[in-house]
Amino acid sequence: MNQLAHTEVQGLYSAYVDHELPAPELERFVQHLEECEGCMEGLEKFEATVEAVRGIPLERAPKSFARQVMRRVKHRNRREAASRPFLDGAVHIPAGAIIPIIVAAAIALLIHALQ
Amino acid sequence: MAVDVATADEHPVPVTGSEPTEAEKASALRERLLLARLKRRDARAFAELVRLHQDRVFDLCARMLNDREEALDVAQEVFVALHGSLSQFRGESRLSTWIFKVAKNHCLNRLKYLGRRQRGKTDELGDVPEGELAAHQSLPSPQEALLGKEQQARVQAAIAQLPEEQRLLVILRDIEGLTYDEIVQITDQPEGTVKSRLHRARTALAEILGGKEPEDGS
Repeated sequence: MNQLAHTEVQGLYSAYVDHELPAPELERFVQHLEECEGCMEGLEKFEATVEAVRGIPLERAPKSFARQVMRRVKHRNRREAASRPFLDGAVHIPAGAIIPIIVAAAIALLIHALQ
Repeated sequence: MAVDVATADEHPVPVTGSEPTEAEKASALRERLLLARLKRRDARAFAELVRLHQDRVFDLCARMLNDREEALDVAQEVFVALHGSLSQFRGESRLSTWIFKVAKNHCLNRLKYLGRRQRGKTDELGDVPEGELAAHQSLPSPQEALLGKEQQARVQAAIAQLPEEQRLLVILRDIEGLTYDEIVQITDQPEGTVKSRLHRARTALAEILGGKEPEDGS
């Protein structure tokens, strides 16, 4: 069975911690560690680090969190409703028809003003 | 700052060899029902969704941004975005995976924005009041001796020093306890890349916590 080099062993720390080393590789990994003080110390430090991270408790959201979310949802819904076109859902007049009406109204006003 | 929730598209849940347990089946059915209610715009169902996922989303945001105030804002933004995009969820992945993906996108966007603004960190998670530290030093319970507040603050400060991609992987795997399949779906990275980057992140953390400078790279 081939011996693993130091760098190969160090590259397997994560897989070992996650229990993802297949049996043959695990055997060579263990064999190396039994004879190598440096890699054994490295593994201990690596494992302690992962354990420390895993031991951190979750940061909990404040109690008012859900209420604040619902408030923001309502605010967004109101804003979206307000930004909808004025005639949305009511009478739909094509833009092409509005322009001649505006022009005609302007001409009528001008004529009225000149009289 | 808008984040396109549609970019948090889903990937099918990978087929695993083992049969789901009774608890997993029940959980999947509850999630299906919740989703059906959400699609009917049921306000109580949405409140339930927030209640179920708020702590994990807030934790991810808090650790990614290392700033409670920003994290609170982003976490709320995540749920508001989810509310507006529930119709886009096709149910092909777990709801929690989709939520994490939306949260990840929001965090990375905010980090980019904050990077541009060079905002000073005023309320970092790693900050522990001196009095509190002293109290923990003088009265350590067995659990606190193992991983006291000071140690937690040191670990969080070390996580905050990692590049964003590595930080995300450490949070998802070692704090949130997600599987590699879930992380692959959230990050859109191949499993091999996830594993090698996580290994680099853990090595860097061990070096930071051991007093050495981390190696550069993501």
